[in-house]
Amino acid sequence: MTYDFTLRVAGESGEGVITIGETIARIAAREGVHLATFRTFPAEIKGGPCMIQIRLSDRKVAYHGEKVDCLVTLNQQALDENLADLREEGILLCEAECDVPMEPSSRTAYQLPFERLAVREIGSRISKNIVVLGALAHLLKIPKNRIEEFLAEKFARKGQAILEHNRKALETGMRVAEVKISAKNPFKFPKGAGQRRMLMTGNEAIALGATMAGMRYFFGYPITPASEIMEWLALHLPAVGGKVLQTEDEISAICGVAGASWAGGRAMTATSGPGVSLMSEALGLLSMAEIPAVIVDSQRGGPSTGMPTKTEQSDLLLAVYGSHGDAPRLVIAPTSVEDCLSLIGLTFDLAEKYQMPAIFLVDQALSARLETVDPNTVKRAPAAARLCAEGKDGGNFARYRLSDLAVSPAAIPGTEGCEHMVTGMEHDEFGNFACDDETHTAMTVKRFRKLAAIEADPLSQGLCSYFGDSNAEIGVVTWGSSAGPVEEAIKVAKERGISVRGIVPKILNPLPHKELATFFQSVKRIIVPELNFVGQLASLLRSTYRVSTINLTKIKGVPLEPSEIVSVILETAATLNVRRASRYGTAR
Amino acid sequence: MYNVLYNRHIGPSPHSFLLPEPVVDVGDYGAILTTGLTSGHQGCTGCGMVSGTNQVLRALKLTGKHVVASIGTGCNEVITTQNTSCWGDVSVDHNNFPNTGATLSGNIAALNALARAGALSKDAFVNVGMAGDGGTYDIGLQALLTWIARGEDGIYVCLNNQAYMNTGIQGSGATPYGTHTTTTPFGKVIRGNQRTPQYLPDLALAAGASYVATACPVRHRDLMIKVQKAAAIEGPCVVEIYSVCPEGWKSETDVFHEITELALQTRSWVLFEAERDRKSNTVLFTLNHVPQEYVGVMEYLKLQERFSGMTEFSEMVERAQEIIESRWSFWKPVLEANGINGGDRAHDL
Ligand SMILES: Cc1ncc(C[n+]2csc(CCOP(=O)(O)OP(=O)(O)O)c2C)c(N)n1
Ligand code: SF4
Ligand SMILES: [Mg+2]
Repeated sequence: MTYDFTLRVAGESGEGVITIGETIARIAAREGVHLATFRTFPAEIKGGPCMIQIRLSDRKVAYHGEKVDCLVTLNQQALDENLADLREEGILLCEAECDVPMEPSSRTAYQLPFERLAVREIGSRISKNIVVLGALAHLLKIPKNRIEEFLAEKFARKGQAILEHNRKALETGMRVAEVKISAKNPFKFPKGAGQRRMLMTGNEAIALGATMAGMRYFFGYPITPASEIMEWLALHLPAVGGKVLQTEDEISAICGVAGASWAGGRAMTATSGPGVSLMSEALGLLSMAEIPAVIVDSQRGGPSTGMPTKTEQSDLLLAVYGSHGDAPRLVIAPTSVEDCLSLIGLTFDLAEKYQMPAIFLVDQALSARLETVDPNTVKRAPAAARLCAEGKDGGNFARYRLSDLAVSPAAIPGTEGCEHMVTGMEHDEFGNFACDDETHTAMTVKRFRKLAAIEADPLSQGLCSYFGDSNAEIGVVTWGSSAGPVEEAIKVAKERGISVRGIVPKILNPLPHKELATFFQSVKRIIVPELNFVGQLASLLRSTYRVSTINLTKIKGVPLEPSEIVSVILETAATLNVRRASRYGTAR
Repeated sequence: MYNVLYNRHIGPSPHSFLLPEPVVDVGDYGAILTTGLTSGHQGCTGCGMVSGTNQVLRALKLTGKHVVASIGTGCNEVITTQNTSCWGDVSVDHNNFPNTGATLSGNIAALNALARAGALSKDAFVNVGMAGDGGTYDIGLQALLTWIARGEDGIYVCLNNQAYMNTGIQGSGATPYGTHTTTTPFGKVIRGNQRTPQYLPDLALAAGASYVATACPVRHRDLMIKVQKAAAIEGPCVVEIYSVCPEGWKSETDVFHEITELALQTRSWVLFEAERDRKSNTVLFTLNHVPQEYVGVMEYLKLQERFSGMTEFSEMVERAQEIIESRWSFWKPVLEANGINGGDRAHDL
């Protein structure tokens, strides 16, 4: 039997909801359990509804789960807003004062007076979440010593008194739960592989992965949901001899990156859509001057200030085309936290090797979600470097030498005999301003040749994930954080007797033509689920491959749910005389 | 460059040498019937910015003109846009984060055009911009200084809470030396913010502002008169308001008043105003407040956890005191003229 359990904790921001969820997640990760999470952020500065959902499994999970097995709510509003997502036979743990609907009777509800216990027995309302944690630990059968160990570490810095206070709150919760919660409840705490798993958010993975990839110069400007990358680096980069500089805006951030990179360092910036918009002039500069750079875009609801704390995948076309002129760049879109950790290294390698800007496209949901990652992913070493002239080029160094090669050797400033100028003006081989048609054409071709070379590069192979049956007639293409729900939906469709094939390209410029072309030939219908209004990936695919697509777009600020994708699959299946999977003997 | 002239008189000055008549006297705070920011905003308990905005709006409404406000992204915008009715009868334009200065120009151009066409009277409205310190000292500085340089009529209010609060307490160009923020963390290698903050009044005066003032919400009369002067004086006027932020300063929510008073007593925040006479290219500086006793900066730092790292290092506290003294030395001529010697008032570190 596989273990697959989804828990949601919901309440008001400031009630300690996230602490409850994160504690469960961290303890599970220490036991070696796989997990994926999702959390919402209120738009308000203080207060406002928030929740965290955690899916625990003994197998790798790509999605945080749709219906929940156990729902914990700290107030009436949270109960009202989340109850619909509890399975019919699920368990509800909620505040005693709340009104709980009688139906369906298959549901079990435990109502405990968390607030009263916290105030009367512990003497502080803010301990409520630890009381809840105690009750939840009992319900989920988490060994008491594990949770105490964890709290001891967490509160160690805050002193003995606070630790004691929390231990008391925890015990109160456990004690009350022992009396109130039936011993027959079905939960058991999963047995993991025993090997501790690393648990981190997408933003932490990006910051750590970039540091491992040799990034030492970070220039940034605060913006939700990317700020944690700069905050993590401000704490850790100086320790490895790196430098974090907060600039006065995003234009300066990317230009700082350009300077540090030209001078030979691996440099990065991280922002969200409004920042990328400001950076787009410099994206053209980086293309034109052939300077490597990595730009992380953690997408949020747009345009303009939009929905800063909500997720969306609506910067794809900005990432691929943003900037004036013909300005080639690399676009990589990870699908999971583990991808964030490993692909950021690859992004640096490709940017360096092909001397061009690279956009690392994530979104709020991926930036903020906690997920277990394979510790081996951290060990990735840089696999490519910038091609640099050795020096003594007779003092006549052609930085932009034209040849059949994808790149011309760069030179670190100060390399003797290789003094040169890089420029955003159109230029000849030596960097002299040139605006004759021949030079502009030759140089544009030179810059675009890199895209074809990247496509053929062994480093960028295997950047597509595939799901489902290879002989299916219905195909699904998606990108980024929508990969998890698609993978899940394909499994559900299969259980309903419909074969589906899914492909998720993690490189979006250049597109992996071989794999996509083969995929499109193999299927009769192409569904493209994504989180934007116009279907941005779909329009790229339509214009590149002249295929027609069925667009499934969502702009509700939250990830796609597998059931939404399944219903489009079912509708599509109805229009096709679909081979039932059962013919192949695979359906139950 | 401009000629510096000191006003010998220390204290709140309701009169302006640029204006023919005194501005409307705002009277006793309690007696004011106008409403500024009304209920429904979502500011945190103890937020100085809410009080500051409230007083700015009250002062402007007392002029009897229609208030046209442009607001930059930040706490002030976020807490007032989820329930826009809290703005009452003010017309509000929330532009992008970097653009408050530019929006002021756009607004005044259109309003003036309407006035020329006879659709509005030129005196019917007052054009005010509001932004945080991040939106003023950093990303919005270019738009602000060029707006000032264009010499257009309007008021720019900077609500200075000394960091990027809305995005989770990152350091800004206005963050005090030694402060712990998420991007200037207090660590073993780097001890909090290493930069000495910029000074907005200097920048605004250098760019050519007609009137520059600093204010704080616990001195209501002073704040509101300054805003009204700014409304009456021709040309670009800048008012910077000290805004306690319990959330980002890690201070208790009920000591808003104490912290602000201590900021004045330690001279961490100095209340003054500067008016420019364009004909003589002179700026008249008036010091509005001198504390009875100069309190050492440590008293101020102690109340806020954001300084808890630096207070352990006496050399850092000394540096903070030095920054205060060097700014204060600007007022030496006025202090001496009033028989107050800058160095005489005792303070201990
Ligand atoms: C171009 C752009 N960059 C970054 C942001 C993110 N952002 C929004 S508000 C804000 C901080 C505002 O700080 P401040 O101006 O000091 O106002 P406060 O919230 O402290 O009142 C930031 C960084 C944005 N909206 N647009
Ligand atoms: S975070 Fe600070 S500035 Fe923003 S609303 Fe809260 S107290 Fe006010
Ligand atoms: Mg601020």
